[in-house]
Amino acid sequence: MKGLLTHRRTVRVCQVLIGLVFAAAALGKLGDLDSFATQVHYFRLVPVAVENLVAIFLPWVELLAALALILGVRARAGALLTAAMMALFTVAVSQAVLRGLDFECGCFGTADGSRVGVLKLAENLVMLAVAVIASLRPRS
Amino acid sequence: MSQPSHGEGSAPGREMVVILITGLLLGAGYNVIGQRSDPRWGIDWIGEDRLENLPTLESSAGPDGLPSAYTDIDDPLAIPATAGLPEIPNVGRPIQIPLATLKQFFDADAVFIVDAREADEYEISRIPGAINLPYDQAITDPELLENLDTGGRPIVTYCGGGSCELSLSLAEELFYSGHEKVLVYVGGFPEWQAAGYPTEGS
Repeated sequence: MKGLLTHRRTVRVCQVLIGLVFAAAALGKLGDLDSFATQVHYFRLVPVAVENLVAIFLPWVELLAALALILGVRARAGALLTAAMMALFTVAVSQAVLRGLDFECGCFGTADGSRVGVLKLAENLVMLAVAVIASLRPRS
Repeated sequence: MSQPSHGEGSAPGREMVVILITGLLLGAGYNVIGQRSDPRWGIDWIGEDRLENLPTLESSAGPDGLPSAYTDIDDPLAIPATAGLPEIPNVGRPIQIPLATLKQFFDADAVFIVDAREADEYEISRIPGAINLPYDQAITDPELLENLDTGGRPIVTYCGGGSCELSLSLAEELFYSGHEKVLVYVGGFPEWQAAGYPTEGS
Protein backbone atom coordinates (compact mmCIF):
# COMPACT_ATOMS: atom_id res chain seq x y z
CA MET A 1 0.00 0.00 0.00
CA LYS A 2 2.71 2.42 1.04
CA GLY A 3 4.63 1.38 -2.06
CA LEU A 4 1.70 2.23 -4.30
CA LEU A 5 1.09 5.56 -2.60
CA THR A 6 4.68 6.66 -2.93
CA HIS A 7 4.99 5.41 -6.49
CA ARG A 8 6.34 8.13 -8.73
CA ARG A 9 3.26 8.06 -10.95
CA THR A 10 0.74 8.06 -8.10
CA VAL A 11 2.41 11.08 -6.56
CA ARG A 12 2.58 12.87 -9.91
CA VAL A 13 -1.10 12.20 -10.73
CA CYS A 14 -2.12 13.49 -7.31
CA GLN A 15 0.05 16.57 -7.79
CA VAL A 16 -1.59 17.44 -11.10
CA LEU A 17 -5.09 16.71 -9.75
CA ILE A 18 -4.80 18.89 -6.66
CA GLY A 19 -2.94 21.47 -8.73
CA LEU A 20 -5.85 21.78 -11.16
CA VAL A 21 -8.36 22.06 -8.33
CA PHE A 22 -6.31 24.80 -6.67
CA ALA A 23 -5.80 26.67 -9.94
CA ALA A 24 -9.56 26.70 -10.56
CA ALA A 25 -10.20 27.80 -6.99
CA ALA A 26 -7.62 30.59 -7.17
CA LEU A 27 -8.83 31.96 -10.51
CA GLY A 28 -12.44 31.91 -9.33
CA LYS A 29 -11.48 34.05 -6.34
CA LEU A 30 -9.25 36.47 -8.24
CA GLY A 31 -12.10 37.34 -10.58
CA ASP A 32 -14.08 38.84 -7.72
CA LEU A 33 -11.95 39.67 -4.67
CA ASP A 34 -14.72 41.73 -3.19
CA SER A 35 -17.07 38.78 -2.98
CA PHE A 36 -14.32 36.53 -1.71
CA ALA A 37 -13.61 38.96 1.12
CA THR A 38 -17.28 38.65 2.08
CA GLN A 39 -17.01 34.87 2.04
CA VAL A 40 -13.97 35.04 4.32
CA HIS A 41 -16.06 37.12 6.70
CA TYR A 42 -18.78 34.49 6.82
CA PHE A 43 -16.36 31.92 8.24
CA ARG A 44 -15.85 34.20 11.27
CA LEU A 45 -12.39 32.76 11.70
CA VAL A 46 -10.11 35.78 11.59
CA PRO A 47 -10.59 39.32 12.94
CA VAL A 48 -12.63 41.50 10.59
CA ALA A 49 -9.67 43.83 9.97
CA VAL A 50 -7.56 40.93 8.65
CA GLU A 51 -10.23 39.41 6.39
CA ASN A 52 -9.37 41.53 3.38
CA LEU A 53 -5.69 40.65 3.66
CA VAL A 54 -6.62 36.96 3.53
CA ALA A 55 -8.72 37.65 0.44
CA ILE A 56 -5.91 39.61 -1.22
CA PHE A 57 -3.09 37.12 -0.64
CA LEU A 58 -4.59 33.64 -0.32
CA PRO A 59 -5.64 33.22 -3.99
CA TRP A 60 -2.12 34.05 -5.17
CA VAL A 61 -0.48 31.55 -2.86
CA GLU A 62 -3.03 29.00 -4.09
CA LEU A 63 -2.29 29.84 -7.71
CA LEU A 64 1.48 29.65 -7.32
CA ALA A 65 1.27 26.35 -5.43
CA ALA A 66 -1.04 25.06 -8.19
CA LEU A 67 1.38 26.11 -10.93
CA ALA A 68 4.27 24.44 -9.11
CA LEU A 69 2.23 21.23 -8.92
CA ILE A 70 0.97 21.24 -12.49
CA LEU A 71 4.28 22.19 -14.06
CA GLY A 72 6.24 19.92 -11.75
CA VAL A 73 8.60 22.70 -10.77
CA ARG A 74 9.19 22.76 -7.00
CA ALA A 75 6.23 20.43 -6.92
CA ARG A 76 6.90 19.07 -3.45
CA ALA A 77 6.94 22.52 -1.92
CA GLY A 78 3.68 23.25 -3.76
CA ALA A 79 2.18 20.01 -2.50
CA LEU A 80 3.16 20.68 1.11
CA LEU A 81 1.63 24.15 0.85
CA THR A 82 -1.62 22.85 -0.62
CA ALA A 83 -1.80 20.14 2.06
CA ALA A 84 -1.34 22.80 4.72
CA MET A 85 -4.00 25.00 3.09
CA MET A 86 -6.40 22.06 2.75
CA ALA A 87 -5.91 21.27 6.46
CA LEU A 88 -6.69 24.88 7.27
CA PHE A 89 -9.79 24.94 5.01
CA THR A 90 -11.00 21.70 6.59
CA VAL A 91 -10.73 23.28 10.04
CA ALA A 92 -12.54 26.38 8.74
CA VAL A 93 -15.42 24.36 7.32
CA SER A 94 -15.64 22.10 10.38
CA GLN A 95 -15.94 25.01 12.79
CA ALA A 96 -18.57 26.61 10.55
CA VAL A 97 -20.60 23.40 10.48
CA LEU A 98 -20.23 22.95 14.25
CA ARG A 99 -21.35 26.51 14.90
CA GLY A 100 -24.33 25.98 12.64
CA LEU A 101 -23.31 28.72 10.23
CA ASP A 102 -25.07 28.50 6.90
CA PHE A 103 -23.51 30.30 3.97
CA GLU A 104 -22.02 29.88 0.55
CA CYS A 105 -18.44 28.73 1.01
CA GLY A 106 -16.61 30.78 -1.61
CA CYS A 107 -14.20 27.90 -1.99
CA PHE A 108 -14.06 28.45 -5.75
CA GLY A 109 -14.98 32.09 -5.62
CA THR A 110 -18.70 32.44 -6.05
CA ALA A 111 -18.67 30.37 -9.24
CA ASP A 112 -20.01 27.13 -7.85
CA GLY A 113 -22.39 28.44 -5.22
CA SER A 114 -21.79 25.43 -2.98
CA ARG A 115 -22.76 25.81 0.64
CA VAL A 116 -20.77 24.98 3.71
CA GLY A 117 -21.96 21.71 5.16
CA VAL A 118 -21.17 18.09 5.77
CA LEU A 119 -20.83 17.42 2.05
CA LYS A 120 -18.27 20.19 1.70
CA LEU A 121 -16.43 18.74 4.68
CA ALA A 122 -16.25 15.31 3.03
CA GLU A 123 -15.05 16.91 -0.19
CA ASN A 124 -12.33 18.70 1.76
CA LEU A 125 -11.15 15.54 3.47
CA VAL A 126 -10.78 13.76 0.12
CA MET A 127 -8.80 16.68 -1.28
CA LEU A 128 -6.66 16.81 1.84
CA ALA A 129 -5.82 13.13 1.32
CA VAL A 130 -4.90 13.78 -2.33
CA ALA A 131 -2.72 16.73 -1.29
CA VAL A 132 -0.95 14.64 1.33
CA ILE A 133 -0.20 11.90 -1.20
CA ALA A 134 1.01 14.58 -3.61
CA SER A 135 3.49 15.75 -1.00
CA LEU A 136 4.98 12.31 -0.34
CA ARG A 137 8.57 11.81 -1.36
CA PRO A 138 8.32 9.63 -4.46
CA ARG A 139 10.15 6.34 -4.55
CA SER A 140 12.22 6.22 -7.71
CA MET B 1 15.92 29.36 -5.55
CA SER B 2 17.81 26.21 -6.52
CA GLN B 3 17.06 23.17 -8.59
CA PRO B 4 13.55 21.87 -9.39
CA SER B 5 12.02 19.92 -6.58
CA HIS B 6 12.01 16.50 -8.15
CA GLY B 7 15.57 16.24 -6.89
CA GLU B 8 15.68 14.31 -3.63
CA GLY B 9 18.01 16.78 -2.06
CA SER B 10 15.83 19.85 -2.63
CA ALA B 11 14.69 21.84 0.38
CA PRO B 12 10.89 22.16 0.22
CA GLY B 13 10.86 24.34 3.31
CA ARG B 14 12.85 27.10 1.67
CA GLU B 15 10.91 26.74 -1.59
CA MET B 16 7.64 27.04 0.31
CA VAL B 17 8.85 30.33 1.73
CA VAL B 18 9.75 31.48 -1.77
CA ILE B 19 6.24 30.59 -3.04
CA LEU B 20 4.67 32.36 -0.06
CA ILE B 21 6.67 35.54 -0.51
CA THR B 22 6.06 35.60 -4.26
CA GLY B 23 2.35 35.14 -3.57
CA LEU B 24 2.38 38.07 -1.15
CA LEU B 25 4.12 40.30 -3.68
CA LEU B 26 1.78 39.32 -6.53
CA GLY B 27 -1.26 39.76 -4.28
CA ALA B 28 -0.15 43.21 -3.23
CA GLY B 29 0.60 44.23 -6.83
CA TYR B 30 -2.70 42.87 -8.14
CA ASN B 31 -4.62 44.65 -5.42
CA VAL B 32 -2.90 47.99 -6.04
CA ILE B 33 -3.79 47.77 -9.75
CA GLY B 34 -7.28 46.43 -8.97
CA GLN B 35 -8.04 49.30 -6.60
CA ARG B 36 -7.56 51.70 -9.50
CA SER B 37 -9.71 49.79 -11.97
CA ASP B 38 -12.65 47.82 -10.60
CA PRO B 39 -14.00 47.57 -7.03
CA ARG B 40 -14.37 43.84 -7.54
CA TRP B 41 -10.68 43.32 -8.26
CA GLY B 42 -9.09 45.63 -5.77
CA ILE B 43 -10.27 45.94 -2.17
CA ASP B 44 -9.34 47.94 0.92
CA TRP B 45 -6.40 46.55 2.82
CA ILE B 46 -8.23 46.61 6.12
CA GLY B 47 -11.54 44.78 6.32
CA GLU B 48 -14.71 46.15 7.83
CA ASP B 49 -17.91 44.55 9.01
CA ARG B 50 -20.14 44.77 5.97
CA LEU B 51 -23.38 44.09 7.73
CA GLU B 52 -22.68 46.67 10.42
CA ASN B 53 -21.68 49.25 7.86
CA LEU B 54 -24.56 48.57 5.52
CA PRO B 55 -26.69 51.70 5.25
CA THR B 56 -30.11 51.33 6.85
CA LEU B 57 -33.38 52.44 5.35
CA GLU B 58 -35.16 54.23 8.15
CA SER B 59 -38.87 53.93 8.71
CA SER B 60 -40.98 56.90 7.74
CA ALA B 61 -43.40 56.17 10.53
CA GLY B 62 -44.67 59.12 12.50
CA PRO B 63 -43.84 59.69 16.16
CA ASP B 64 -46.79 57.50 17.15
CA GLY B 65 -45.14 54.61 15.34
CA LEU B 66 -47.93 54.37 12.81
CA PRO B 67 -47.24 54.53 9.10
CA SER B 68 -48.09 57.92 7.70
CA ALA B 69 -49.89 56.51 4.65
CA TYR B 70 -53.16 54.66 4.38
CA THR B 71 -55.33 53.22 1.66
CA ASP B 72 -59.05 53.22 1.36
CA ILE B 73 -60.50 51.22 -1.50
CA ASP B 74 -63.82 53.02 -1.15
CA ASP B 75 -62.16 56.34 -1.70
CA PRO B 76 -60.35 56.57 -5.05
CA LEU B 77 -58.84 59.88 -4.05
CA ALA B 78 -57.16 58.39 -1.01
CA ILE B 79 -53.41 58.66 -0.72
CA PRO B 80 -51.85 55.64 -2.43
CA ALA B 81 -50.39 53.11 -0.06
CA THR B 82 -46.89 53.79 -1.25
CA ALA B 83 -47.10 57.50 -0.55
CA GLY B 84 -45.70 57.44 2.95
CA LEU B 85 -42.99 54.92 2.28
CA PRO B 86 -39.39 56.05 2.54
CA GLU B 87 -37.51 56.72 -0.68
CA ILE B 88 -34.88 54.14 -1.46
CA PRO B 89 -31.67 55.96 -2.35
CA ASN B 90 -29.13 54.43 -4.73
CA VAL B 91 -25.96 54.10 -2.68
CA GLY B 92 -24.21 51.67 -5.00
CA ARG B 93 -24.99 48.61 -2.94
CA PRO B 94 -27.86 46.93 -1.09
CA ILE B 95 -29.42 48.65 1.92
CA GLN B 96 -30.63 47.13 5.20
CA ILE B 97 -34.32 47.31 5.97
CA PRO B 98 -35.41 47.03 9.60
CA LEU B 99 -38.49 45.04 10.59
CA ALA B 100 -40.76 48.07 11.08
CA THR B 101 -39.95 49.51 7.66
CA LEU B 102 -40.36 46.14 5.98
CA LYS B 103 -43.79 45.81 7.57
CA GLN B 104 -44.77 49.18 6.10
CA PHE B 105 -43.68 48.10 2.63
CA PHE B 106 -45.31 44.69 3.13
CA ASP B 107 -48.63 46.21 4.14
CA ALA B 108 -48.58 48.45 1.09
CA ASP B 109 -47.66 45.47 -1.11
CA ALA B 110 -44.81 47.62 -2.34
CA VAL B 111 -41.97 45.11 -2.21
CA PHE B 112 -40.93 42.00 -4.06
CA ILE B 113 -39.84 39.60 -1.34
CA VAL B 114 -37.24 36.94 -2.04
CA ASP B 115 -36.56 34.04 0.34
CA ALA B 116 -32.90 33.00 0.03
CA ARG B 117 -33.27 29.86 2.12
CA GLU B 118 -33.44 26.30 0.85
CA ALA B 119 -36.67 25.07 -0.76
CA ASP B 120 -37.63 22.80 2.17
CA GLU B 121 -37.41 25.63 4.69
CA TYR B 122 -39.37 27.88 2.35
CA GLU B 123 -42.10 25.27 1.91
CA ILE B 124 -42.68 24.96 5.64
CA SER B 125 -43.11 28.63 6.41
CA ARG B 126 -42.35 31.96 4.76
CA ILE B 127 -43.30 35.62 4.57
CA PRO B 128 -46.55 35.67 2.53
CA GLY B 129 -46.00 36.37 -1.15
CA ALA B 130 -42.26 35.70 -1.02
CA ILE B 131 -40.73 33.77 -3.89
CA ASN B 132 -38.03 31.20 -3.23
CA LEU B 133 -34.61 31.80 -4.74
CA PRO B 134 -32.06 29.68 -2.88
CA TYR B 135 -28.67 31.34 -3.01
CA ASP B 136 -26.84 28.33 -4.44
CA GLN B 137 -29.36 28.08 -7.26
CA ALA B 138 -29.36 31.81 -7.97
CA ILE B 139 -25.61 32.06 -8.19
CA THR B 140 -25.35 29.43 -10.93
CA ASP B 141 -28.00 31.11 -13.09
CA PRO B 142 -27.17 34.78 -13.79
CA GLU B 143 -30.01 35.13 -16.29
CA LEU B 144 -32.53 34.18 -13.63
CA LEU B 145 -31.35 37.13 -11.54
CA GLU B 146 -31.29 39.58 -14.42
CA ASN B 147 -34.73 38.61 -15.69
CA LEU B 148 -36.42 38.53 -12.30
CA ASP B 149 -39.70 40.39 -12.80
CA THR B 150 -40.28 42.46 -9.69
CA GLY B 151 -43.14 44.46 -11.15
CA GLY B 152 -41.12 47.62 -10.66
CA ARG B 153 -41.02 47.09 -6.92
CA PRO B 154 -37.86 47.10 -4.84
CA ILE B 155 -36.54 43.69 -3.86
CA VAL B 156 -36.17 42.56 -0.25
CA THR B 157 -34.10 39.47 0.47
CA TYR B 158 -34.23 37.54 3.70
CA CYS B 159 -33.03 34.23 5.04
CA GLY B 160 -32.78 32.44 8.38
CA GLY B 161 -31.51 35.55 10.18
CA GLY B 162 -28.81 35.50 12.85
CA SER B 163 -25.71 33.89 11.47
CA CYS B 164 -27.35 33.42 8.07
CA GLU B 165 -25.80 35.82 5.62
CA LEU B 166 -27.22 34.34 2.44
CA SER B 167 -29.64 37.22 2.14
CA LEU B 168 -26.83 39.78 1.90
CA SER B 169 -24.95 37.65 -0.63
CA LEU B 170 -28.08 37.23 -2.71
CA ALA B 171 -28.88 40.94 -2.44
CA GLU B 172 -25.40 41.80 -3.70
CA GLU B 173 -25.78 39.42 -6.62
CA LEU B 174 -29.16 40.94 -7.48
CA PHE B 175 -27.73 44.43 -7.24
CA TYR B 176 -24.77 43.63 -9.47
CA SER B 177 -27.05 41.93 -11.99
CA GLY B 178 -28.81 45.24 -12.61
CA HIS B 179 -31.56 45.65 -10.02
CA GLU B 180 -31.25 49.12 -8.56
CA LYS B 181 -33.36 48.89 -5.45
CA VAL B 182 -32.30 45.93 -3.39
CA LEU B 183 -32.92 45.73 0.34
CA VAL B 184 -31.71 43.18 2.86
CA TYR B 185 -33.88 42.18 5.77
CA VAL B 186 -31.14 41.12 8.17
CA GLY B 187 -33.51 40.07 10.95
CA GLY B 188 -34.68 37.30 8.68
CA PHE B 189 -37.56 34.91 9.03
CA PRO B 190 -37.13 34.20 12.79
CA GLU B 191 -37.53 37.89 13.67
CA TRP B 192 -40.57 38.26 11.39
CA GLN B 193 -42.20 35.22 12.94
CA ALA B 194 -41.37 36.27 16.50
CA ALA B 195 -43.02 39.62 15.85
CA GLY B 196 -46.25 37.72 15.21
CA TYR B 197 -46.53 38.91 11.63
CA PRO B 198 -48.37 36.75 9.08
CA THR B 199 -46.67 33.76 7.55
CA GLU B 200 -47.77 31.20 5.01
CA GLY B 201 -46.69 27.65 4.23
CA SER B 202 -47.50 24.04 4.80
